[in-house]
Amino acid sequence: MKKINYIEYGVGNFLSIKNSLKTIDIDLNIVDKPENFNNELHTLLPGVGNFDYCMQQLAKNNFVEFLRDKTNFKKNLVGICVGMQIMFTKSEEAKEYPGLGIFDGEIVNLKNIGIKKTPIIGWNKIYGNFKSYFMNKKFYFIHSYGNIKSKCSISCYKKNKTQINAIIKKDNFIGLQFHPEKSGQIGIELLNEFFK
Amino acid sequence: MRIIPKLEIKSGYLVKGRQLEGYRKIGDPNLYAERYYLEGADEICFIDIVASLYNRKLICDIVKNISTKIFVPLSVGGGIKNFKQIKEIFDSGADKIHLNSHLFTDLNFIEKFEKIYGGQSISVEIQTKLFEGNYYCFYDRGREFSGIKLLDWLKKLNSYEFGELIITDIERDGMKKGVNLELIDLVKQKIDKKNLVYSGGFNPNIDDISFLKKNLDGLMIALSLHENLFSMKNFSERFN
Repeated sequence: MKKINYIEYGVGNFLSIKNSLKTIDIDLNIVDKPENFNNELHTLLPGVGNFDYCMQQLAKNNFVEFLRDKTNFKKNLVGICVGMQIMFTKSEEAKEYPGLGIFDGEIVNLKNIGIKKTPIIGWNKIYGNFKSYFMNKKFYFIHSYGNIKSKCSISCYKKNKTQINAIIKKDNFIGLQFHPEKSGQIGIELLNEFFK
Repeated sequence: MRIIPKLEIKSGYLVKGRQLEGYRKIGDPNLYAERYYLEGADEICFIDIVASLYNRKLICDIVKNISTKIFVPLSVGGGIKNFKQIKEIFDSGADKIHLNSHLFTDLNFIEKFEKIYGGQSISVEIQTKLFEGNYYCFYDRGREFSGIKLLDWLKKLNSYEFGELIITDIERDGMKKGVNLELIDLVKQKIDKKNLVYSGGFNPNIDDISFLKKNLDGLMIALSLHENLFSMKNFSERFN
C-alpha cells in the first residue's frame, strides 16, 4: 500500500482523512516529530479550529522551522483548511503567532469582506482559468477566515459576490480551503491527484 | 440550503417518534446512512435519543463504522455535556456536535468549547413549542420545560460564536404537516448573522422547497426520507 506523511500535531480529524485515503489505497506515515518524516513521500498537513492554536501546537511539536524549510519537501505538501491557512504569512484571526510563510499573503476575517454569515458552511462550485476535471465541481467548505488575494491562487469560489480562494499552488506546495475528505467521491479523487 | 438527513438512534437502531416521543424502530442506521449518502445528502446527523452511557458507546461505534464509508460531514447530538464525551465523539469521526440541554445549566460551555475546537464545530439546537401564545424552549428531547422564552434565549445566544443554530419545532416533529414558516420567520428576525437550520415536519407534498432555500441554510429531514416520500438528488447542494 502506498504511503503519505501525515503531520500529527494534535489538530485535525485524523480518522476522516485516514478513512478517505484508505478507499484509494493510501496509508499514513504518522509524523509526530520531524525525525519520522520520510522525504520520499507526499505530505498532508491537517488543521481545524483556531490559527493560533494550530501554530502553537506545531511549535510544541518542533514542526515550525521544519515546515518553513522548503528544501525538506521533494514531493507535494498539501495543507487542508486551517492547515492551508497557516501556510500563509499571517492571519487576522491570530493574536500571537505568524504563519509558516510558504505562501505570501494574509488570511482575513470573511465578515470584513462582505460575507453575511460566518462560518460559511456548505457545498460550493470551484472555478479556475485552466482546464481540469475538478473545475466547476462542488466541494465542502466550512470556514470563517480565508484568503482573497494571492498570486498563487489557481481556483476560487464565490459567496455573496465575493471571490474567495479555494486552491493555492506554488510549486509542490498546495493549500486547499475546503475539506476534500468530506467532499464525497470528488474530494477523494482530488486527493488522489495530488498524492499520485 | 443543505439537506441533512436526521437519524435518531436508540439501542443501536434507527428510530422515529412523533413530537419527540413514542419512538418506534425503523431499521439499521448504517444502511439508511449509506443510502442517504449515495442519494446526495449534504451532511448526516445522528441523535442519541437515550443519551445514557451505554448508548453513547453505541452511537460512537455507529459513527466510527459509518465514517469509513461516508465522506460528507457527520454531526452528533443528544445529552452532550462534557469534554470527555466530545473528544470520544470527534475521535469516532464526527465533525460537529449539537448542544442543547446542557446549555440551560452552563451557557458559557459554548465559549469553552469554541476555544478548544473552534466555533464551526458547534451546532446549537433549540427545541421549542407554543405555550400560552409564546414560543418557549424545552430540553431533554422536549420533555423538560425551561421556562425561558425563545426570543429571550436567542438574544442570549446571539453574543456567542458558533457554527449554526438548529431550530426544532417539537409539535411538528414526525408529523409530516409541513415546516413551521412562522417560526422560521420569527427566528430569522432575531438572529440574522447565524446559519439557520430547521427541523420538524418537512413534507415535500406540502412544502415549497425553493421558498425554503431562500430562508434557510439547512433543512433536517427524518420521516419523509425514512418513508421514501422525498428524493434528495434534485435538491441537495452537493448534487445541484
